Amino acid sequence: MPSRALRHWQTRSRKVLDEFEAAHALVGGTPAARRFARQQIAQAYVVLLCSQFQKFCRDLHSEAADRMSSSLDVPLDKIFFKALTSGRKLDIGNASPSNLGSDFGRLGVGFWDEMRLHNARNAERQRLLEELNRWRNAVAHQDFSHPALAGEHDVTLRYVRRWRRACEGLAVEFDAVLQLYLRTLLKRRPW
Amino acid sequence: MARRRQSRPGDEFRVGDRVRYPMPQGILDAVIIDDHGDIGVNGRRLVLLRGLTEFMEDTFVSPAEILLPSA
Repeated sequence: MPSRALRHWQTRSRKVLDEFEAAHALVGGTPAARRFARQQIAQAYVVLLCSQFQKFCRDLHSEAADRMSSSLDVPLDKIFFKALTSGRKLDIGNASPSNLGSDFGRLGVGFWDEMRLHNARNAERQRLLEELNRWRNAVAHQDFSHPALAGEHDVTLRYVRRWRRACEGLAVEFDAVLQLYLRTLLKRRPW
Repeated sequence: MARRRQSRPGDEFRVGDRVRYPMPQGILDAVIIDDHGDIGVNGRRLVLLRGLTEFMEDTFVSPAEILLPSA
């Protein structure tokens, strides 16, 4: 059984993101107006995808930290839980590979090393997540000057779908890697 | 007919509420800034808090069931 965080991501978040896909398909008007509206929707889709994925990552981290601390006696459980979740980067910043590595690393797991060992496709998904976060920042701050964007200003739906597929793949992998790690650590299935 | 879920300790708190977080020695005033939902052990509700003292302004996660209403 997957974590609750993953179940939420695969149901509620999917529904919210699918509504953007539907909105993109429904745009009408003249070709120029359609192009403009679709670009605005695609940009909003990027920000929404990032925020939903960030929420999933935060929830998964909280869920894992709760499982770990619940294995301790009172009052150490509370102190440990607070220490694991205090000042998380995911609470104030994007779900970027570096922030994820930092926050999940606090649980004692070499996060991205384990991810790459678990599935060879995760290296490319990690790269796509980095790319998604760059575009998210460009859209949110309306600053497209980052050299990695190569002068591009337009987000295409094809790219957002690619990033979304990467996030969907990563979500399943995060869940699996953490489950393996916690099962070894706690000697029982965490979820 | 839908069954009404029994209210649990902490269910009364909402995002924006000021609460007291009991520590082993003392109480920390905090505010709820996000609701993670029932994702904790045995489906307990987890919330994100921010400390309200100058010594503890960080965010941290807590089960809602252990929080106390602000005085």
